Amino acid sequence: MDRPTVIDTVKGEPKERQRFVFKQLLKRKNVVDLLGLLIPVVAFSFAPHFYSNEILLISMMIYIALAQGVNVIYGLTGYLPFGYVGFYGVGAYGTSLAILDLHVAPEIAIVIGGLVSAILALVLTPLLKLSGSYFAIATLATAEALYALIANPSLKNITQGPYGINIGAVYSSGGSYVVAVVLLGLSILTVVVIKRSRLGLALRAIRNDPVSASLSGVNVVLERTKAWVVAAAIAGLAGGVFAWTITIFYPSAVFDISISVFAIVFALFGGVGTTFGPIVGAVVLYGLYSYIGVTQPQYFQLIFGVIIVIFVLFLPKGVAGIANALIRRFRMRTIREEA
Amino acid sequence: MAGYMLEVEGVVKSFDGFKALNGVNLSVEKGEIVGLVGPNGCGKTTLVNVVSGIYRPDMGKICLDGKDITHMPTHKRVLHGINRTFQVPKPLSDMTVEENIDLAWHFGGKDNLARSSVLERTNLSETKYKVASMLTAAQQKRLDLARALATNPKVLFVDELGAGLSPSELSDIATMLKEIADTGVALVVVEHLLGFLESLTSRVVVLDAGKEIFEGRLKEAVKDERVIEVFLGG
Ligand SMILES: Nc1ncnc2c1ncn2[C@@H]1O[C@H](COP(=O)(O)OP(=O)(O)O)[C@@H](O)[C@H]1O
Ligand SMILES: [Mg+2]
Repeated sequence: MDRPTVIDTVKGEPKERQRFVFKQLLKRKNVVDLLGLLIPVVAFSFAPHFYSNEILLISMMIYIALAQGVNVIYGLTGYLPFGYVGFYGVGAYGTSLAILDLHVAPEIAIVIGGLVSAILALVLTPLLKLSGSYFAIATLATAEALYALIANPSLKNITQGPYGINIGAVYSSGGSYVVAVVLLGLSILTVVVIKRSRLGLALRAIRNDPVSASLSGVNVVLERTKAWVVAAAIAGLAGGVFAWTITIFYPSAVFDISISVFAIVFALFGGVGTTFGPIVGAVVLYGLYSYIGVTQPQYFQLIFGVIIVIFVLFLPKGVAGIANALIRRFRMRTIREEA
Repeated sequence: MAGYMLEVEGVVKSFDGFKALNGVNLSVEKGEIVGLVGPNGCGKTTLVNVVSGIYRPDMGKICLDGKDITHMPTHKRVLHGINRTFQVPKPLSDMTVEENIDLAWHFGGKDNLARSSVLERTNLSETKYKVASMLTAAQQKRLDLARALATNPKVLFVDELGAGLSPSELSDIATMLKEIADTGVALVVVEHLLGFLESLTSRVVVLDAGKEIFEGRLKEAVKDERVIEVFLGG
């Protein structure tokens, strides 16, 4: 290996690095991420003491997790996954069947559900060759196909077909609540970790320009696949948590496209690419939906559709983007006034 | 065979039946600076794209340091030591200059390389914390160069780096490129400015219609009948 060295060897790099890491820790961005992780986890841990509808709280946590999954796949790579619910449904079924057939503990079954979804995502990586709306539609079709397969009466002996799942024997409201909080924390932590990892840097670069990214040595297909599989695993785990919470459900309940739509709307509304955005989006909009929407869901579907269009076209950075712009403007003004 | 860092043999590349490259050959030695010239549309940029893996050739063979890389994806070629700049610069525009370099260093570089020196060598130190989209076009071209250098290339293609630059800027670029070649990099410089190439290159390859028509010193090239015809008669 007598490879010519274009650049000189490092001098004093480790020290420079230490100082760099320390400076990084004190940055506003890091504090924001830490709060983005701690506030929701603490709040949802104590919420049942103040609010008794645990199912609603679990649903909200599931939606935060799904919105963070959308954040990973859409926010970091630009692929809009309308069929994201497919991984959720498969996770719910993977979990339930692991409980029924393998007789494992629900917590382990949920991990299996997440793994099954991750493996499915690996199988489906050719979808990533499609771009833009082709990808969105192809994932939608895939989710529908998975639903048709699982709900097929001829698979009754394996999936119970259209008759649905019953894992009532393992019902545990306390247990599923704890697992939901873990899911919540895990999904947020995933985004935080990815964003500051090499993977996060690579994904940002790919979004900027895939050709320049590959000329920097980035394996574009591999890095996108990683994000896709991670997002799928989050949805699978979320589906598993749902299955254990509800214990009795029809396949239509876990393959409902509006679950994808909700997750996307929450993520977009709050702001993809940020840690806080999808959390805020899910809490605000799902809260609002639960408050008014349950009685008149048709209006919410319409409103959410409009929100998707507006945010994708005009406000790609969501509420977080607006907040950031306001903060920046405010700062500029204070700087100008000081000067 | 011996000694060539890069060997391109009989490469053909068509777009909808139009042969942009028509059996082109090119060999470059370690530390050598070769000029690649020819009229607009003769296939210079296409050749750079094929060598860097952006396009796959329809026919032909590309070897780097004796290894066949014809069917390798771009990022693997980068790891094996090929890189290039773009005629229209292609920075990662939402990222800072530093982040652009960090990325190439992390994914394409070798552990014992210093990132900071790449910016010094390309005269971009002052722009370190600027977002790449805020740079001037000339700076963005140098950022392409810095990004390529951060991957420690063996062979580097530079596509019209000098276009639109003042004479003093051009001489800075020439010095910059010479320093890069002095470290052993095989450089291919695509350029229209013959004066610039005269001072820089040991030999030039003249392309016409996707095929080399002359190879040798620039002084002889300007006396060659076919070369004169292509440049003046076209
Ligand atoms: N992606 C492409 N699709 C179709 N035609 C192309 C493409 N890239 C290059 N060409 C054609 O190939 C020929 C060579 O182009 P190019 O390599 O850019 O020339 P040069 O860099 O020498 O000016 C031109 O006729 C150009 O129109
Ligand atoms: Mg060109």
